[in-house]
Formats: sequence, structure tokens, C-alpha cells
Amino acid sequence: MIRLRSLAAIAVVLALPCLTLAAAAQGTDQGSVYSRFGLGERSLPFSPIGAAMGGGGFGLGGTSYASLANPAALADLSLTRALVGFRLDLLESSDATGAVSQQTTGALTGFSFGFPLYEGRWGVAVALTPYTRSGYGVQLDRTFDAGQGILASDRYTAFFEGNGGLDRVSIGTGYRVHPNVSIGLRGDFTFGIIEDVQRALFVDPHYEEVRVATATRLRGLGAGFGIRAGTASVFRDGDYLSVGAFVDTPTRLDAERIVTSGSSFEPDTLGTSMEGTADLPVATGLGFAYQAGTRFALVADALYEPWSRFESSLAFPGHSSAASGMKDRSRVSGGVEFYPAGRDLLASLLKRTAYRLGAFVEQGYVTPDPDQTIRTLGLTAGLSFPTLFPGTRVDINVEAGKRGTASGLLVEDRYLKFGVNVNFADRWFVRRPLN
Amino acid sequence: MLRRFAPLLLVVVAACNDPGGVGAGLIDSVDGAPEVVTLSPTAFEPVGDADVTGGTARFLLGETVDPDLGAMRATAWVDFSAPASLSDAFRNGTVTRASLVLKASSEYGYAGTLTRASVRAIDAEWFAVGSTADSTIASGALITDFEFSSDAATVEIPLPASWVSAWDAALRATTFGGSFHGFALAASEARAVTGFDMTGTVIRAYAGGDSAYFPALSNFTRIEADAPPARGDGKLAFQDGRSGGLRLAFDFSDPRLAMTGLARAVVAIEADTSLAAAVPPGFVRPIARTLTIDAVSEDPPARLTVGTASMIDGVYYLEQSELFEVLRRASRGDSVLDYFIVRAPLAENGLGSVLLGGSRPPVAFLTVLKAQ
Repeated sequence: MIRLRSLAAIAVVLALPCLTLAAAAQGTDQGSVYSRFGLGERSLPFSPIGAAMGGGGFGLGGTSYASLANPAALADLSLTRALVGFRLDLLESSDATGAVSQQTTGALTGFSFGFPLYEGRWGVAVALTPYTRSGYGVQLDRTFDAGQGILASDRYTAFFEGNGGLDRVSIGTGYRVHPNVSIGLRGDFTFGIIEDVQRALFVDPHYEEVRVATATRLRGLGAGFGIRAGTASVFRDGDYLSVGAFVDTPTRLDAERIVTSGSSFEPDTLGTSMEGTADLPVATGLGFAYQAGTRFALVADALYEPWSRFESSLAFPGHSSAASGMKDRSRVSGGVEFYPAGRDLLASLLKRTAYRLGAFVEQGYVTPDPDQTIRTLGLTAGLSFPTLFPGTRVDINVEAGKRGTASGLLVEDRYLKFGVNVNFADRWFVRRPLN
Repeated sequence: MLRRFAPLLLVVVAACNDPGGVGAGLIDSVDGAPEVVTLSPTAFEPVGDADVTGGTARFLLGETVDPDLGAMRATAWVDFSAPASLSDAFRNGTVTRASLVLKASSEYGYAGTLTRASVRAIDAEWFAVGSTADSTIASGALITDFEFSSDAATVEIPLPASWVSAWDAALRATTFGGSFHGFALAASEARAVTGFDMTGTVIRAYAGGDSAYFPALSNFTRIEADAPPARGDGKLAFQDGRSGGLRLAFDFSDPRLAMTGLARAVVAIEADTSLAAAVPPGFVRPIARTLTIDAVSEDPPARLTVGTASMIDGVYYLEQSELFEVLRRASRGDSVLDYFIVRAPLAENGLGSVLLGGSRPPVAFLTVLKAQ
């Protein structure tokens, strides 16, 4: 039974990166028009527990999840873990004119696989996670001004669509250098294609539908460092206070941009490709976690990325040599977890379920209007269900939020994000004690 | 908060994706707006090549001196085929008489004037398709002379009894097409050039109390003409048959075309038809009602007809899908196109003329969508 389960887990582990990449390559989903700007909508580190507690959790240990947000947490790994997440996003957008649109998207949200090299002291993990996502669709009815020539002006519909984004393949390790202190190191390969498509569909049949797509391929290497320290019995016996911090180094991405015309199936390249670079800024995070015994935990986190220093030799919507809408990204979040059963493994299912709540506020890294900041407010919640297999859990998260404002030229997004994450656990690579 | 989002869940799941115009304010008004790029020609000039006059729908006979365009002399070669079937009476009889019937359809020069011409045999097989006006085909013995008025609708030339008796067996046999190679028609005296339609031009023969019509199969016209003199107004005098056309080139490296997709392409050639009106008394000069445009590549050598247009309100608007495709490739810099040839349609061969260019040169209107 155990052997079959292990084989199944191996199959899943091998297949999931392929599925994740395939989903990322589809790039047909549409979401917020804000994802048109910069490099797309910035994604959070892949962590189901963090996502349910406001989106942070940088100070939490890595006993239950192989998350590379703070690689120092990998030192806590005691079981081999494979984590995969799926999401469904529901979005309603409105603007100052009263126009409303709805979008539904779904995708794999990430994958990670980690195992202990030395149980509870040294862990290693690999992950494939989204870094940014671009997915939007706007259509406008316009009048085409044909000028003074022989052609008459005509009505047409302009379509603006975007898809793609950047993904990150990471490998990291965490090592406990002291009973209360762990450090971690992570290497990242960031890659992906961001595509912006314009289409014009005319009323007059003399005109062909015309489609022009700008695809920018980016890739580059980066690194991240993390540290986590904790101490027990701070406020009372049995509690534990930990603090975690990480720094992701600036990453230079090599960029290649091609412009194509024609259908998406048979595009013709226009001109020659443009090459350049895009420099991702440093990212820093700080998180506190307080565990009041085995049933109750609190987290508070802050994230800061100075995108105002973002530089790119290629222009992106919202960023050019002439003007930039890049702003420093900051995010503050907090959350609480309640685990009724504590260490009682024989308690009922509901008591062995973890209940999580959180909230956050985020200032976006890019804005279409440099005079305005795109702010996101959100509430998060999650349930982490136990399964028949010890250590394996299924996490269901939900996030409700509001982004931007329906004033001026801006848009207000109201969204619901549902996430399902399966966190496999098994004991691999560890010598079993003889009976 | 949850109460606020609950309806959203239902609406969104039901509606799926409805992008709409939300976010329009975030799209710059110039983004995604097509524009018309107007290209003026970098070259518009006569080509030295002779016009293609073989295998056309019309052949020409006669000569004239155009006071504006110069002298022109046209000689025709016409071959005929056997009818699809012959009656038993015709096949078993004896051909008693035969005539060459020419169906006139155009006139250039002094209208209604007398043309004297001859009919000669063609002794060897020849091929018409693609032959240019400066080619020639050997002709044989004189068969007969004839004369006609240049404005006649039909010209019937009786063929002499010697020819009839010589070709009696062939006319009644199924091998006529292989043994007969046609007639050469040359004017000896004329003040006009008459065009004859292939349709309606026949050899009519009588045998066994029945008649048979041997339809025209192929033709070639040799044209010897002066080049039109240069005009003071810079316009180019174009006449079908007199020249192989006009070379028309555009600069597709224009930066306005960089990184664009093409939505529509129109080449507009404005015509000055005053040539048809400004003629001496009694002189007829037909107008070129239709023009054709060929895309030409020199390396590798290739030529493709990409559009034909009739004149509308003094302008030829060329806008066929083939032209669109050629211009689409040219505008994205992925083309072997070197230039266009503007000419009269091959089938016309009607000596139509028009003034082109000058202060109103041809223009290419390219409606493009530029990448952001």
C-alpha cells in the first residue's frame, strides 16, 4: 500500500511541472486590465498557509509546507513534500463610466517539491511558481479616421489583449545553524513571455481584420537569502515566537522582443527582434509568527520591493524612457490560524482541520496613472483538511479583495480567488529504524 | 464584505468572460488606432519592353499616324481550329467555296477610312501565347487581297477557288487543325487600325449543301510603333499595344510602415482622359478603360498579375486580394517585390490610351495598425 502510494506520488511529482508549464504557456486567460502594465500582475510566493493568512507567513516554519518564500524555513522539513495548487479567479471590474465586465480564469498556481537531507535540520526544495501574470481583455468601439485620402472613415472595434507572464524555477536549501536559527539560500531562474495583442475589426468588409502582437521573452538568474530565528516560552510556557526575513537579489533579465502580425496560428514576424534587459529590483520581506501553544498562531508580515528603481531598455505599458508608472511595492498582512485538535491526532475531522483568516493591504508596483497608486485591500480565509495519509493535507483558500478605484481613468476590480492546494507528504530518502 | 461579493460569484460564473470596454480609459487613445499611410511612387516611368500581344482576345490590322502619339502599324496572325463536329453531308461533299469572316470590335485612327490588306498563308506551326508585339512570324504565299472600311462591323473575305480546292480534303477531315496553320493579315494601305474579336472570327466553308464554321483559335499581333513623345506637363501617355506598360515603385522601407499590420491596401491611379477628346476631326482614339497591375521581382525573376481595375470617375482603384498580399509582405519587409508594372489587360489589345502621372501620380493607401 505504501509502495503504491509512493509510486503514485512520484508520478504526480514528475507530471506536475509539465502540467504547470503547459498551463502557464496557454496564456489565454483574462483578468484585470491592470495586468497590462509593467510585467503583469505580481504574484505572491506559493504558500497555501501564507495565502490563507493574508499572503505572508515569512516567519513560519517549514514543517508542514515546502515553501521557498523564505528558504530558511526548509530547515524544518521532516517529511518529503510535494505541493500543487490550483486556482479559480472571479473578477468584476467597473470604471467611472459605469461600465462593468466580468472575467473568470483558472490555472495551476504553482508546484513545489521538498525533502529533508537531515531531518529537522537541513532541507532542500525545488519549485515552479508564477512571478507575474498578464491576462486582460479590453474592447472598444471606435471611429477610424481615414484622413484626406480616398478612403472613407469607418467604425471599427479595437481589441487589446494580453497574456503570459513570468515564472520562476527555484531551488533552495535551508539549514539550521543553531537550535533557534536557520538560514536559507535559493537560486532562481526567472523566465517567461509577455504578449500584448492589438486587433482591429472593421465594419467595412473591404478591411481585413488586423492583429499585431508584441511578445517579449525574458529570462535571467537571481538568488534569495533567508533567515529565521525563534525562541520558545516568550509570553507563557509552550508558546513560540519566530521572526523570518528574506532578501531576493536584483535580477537582470535578458529580453528579446518580437512583433508579429497575422493570426495567432500563423504569425509573420515584423522587422527584426529587439534585444535588451530588464532589471528586477531587490525584494525584501519580514515576518513574525507567534504560536500560542499547538492550537493558535498569529502572523504579521511586510513585503517591500523598490520598483521605482526598475530599469528596462525596452518599454512596457506603464514604463518607458519618457515616463514611468513604476512605484515601490509594499504589502502588509496579518493572519490567524486556529487548530482545535492541537496535537490530538485522534480528534474528529473538524477538530483536526486548521481554520485560517487574514487580511492585507498592498500598494501595487505599477500604475497606469503616475499620480495615482493602485491599492489592493483583501480578506483571506482558508481551511486545511487532514487526509487519511499522515502529513498530507488539502488546503482550500479564498481571497476577496478590491483593487484600484473607479474614478478618473482607473478601474475598480472586485475579485474572489478560490484556491485548492494538495500537500502530499511521505517519508522518502530517510533511513527507517529497524524494528 | 461577503454579502457584497456573493452576487458577483453568481454573475461571473454565469457570464464567463465579457471583457467589454472597462479599462478603456487606461488605453491611450492613439493606441490601437489604425492609420492610413500614403505612399507616393519612387518611380513611375515607361518600361522598354514590348507589350504582350499574343493569345489575346483581339487582334489588330492596319496602320495610322497618331498626331499625338506617333505612327503605328499592326499585322496579325490568326490560326483556326476545326469545328466540334461536321455533318455527314459536309464531310462527304466537296468544299465549293470558303471565306474568312472577321468580327470587328474596335477602331483607332481615322474612322471610316479604307484599309487595303492581304491574306497570306502560314506554312509552319507557331505559338501565340506570351508573344510580344516586337516578335514576328514568317508568312507564306499570298492568298488574296481585300479591302474594308475601318468602321465596318464585319469583314468577309472570299477565299480564292485555288485555296478552296487545295484545302478541300483538309477542311472536311478531322486533321484540319494539325495541317492548317492559319493566315497572316497585313495592311498595305490604311489610315486606321481595326481590332477584330477572336469570338466571331471564323473560316466559313460550304460543302454538300451544308456549311461549317472553323473558329479562330489563336492569334498574334505585331505592332511597329513610335514611342510617345515626352509631354510638357510631365504626364505619361500610355497606350495599350504601344508599350509594355509603366514601371511603378514605392518605398516600403518607409518608417511609418515599421512594425505594422496591414488592414487594407489600395493603389489609386488617377487618369487624364483628355487624349480621347483632343483629337483631330474624324480621328478616333479609344480610352483605356481598364488597367492591370503586375508585381515584378527581378531576383528571382518572377511576374504575377495582382490586380485589375476599371476606371471609376477618372481613377483606377486597384484592390484585389492578391495585391493586398503582395503589399502586406512588402510592408513588413518580407518580399522579393521590386516594382509593379501597370499595363492594359492582356485580353484587351484594344489600343486604349490614357494620360497618367504628372502632378497626380499614383498613390498607395495602406491602412495599418502599428504595434504599441
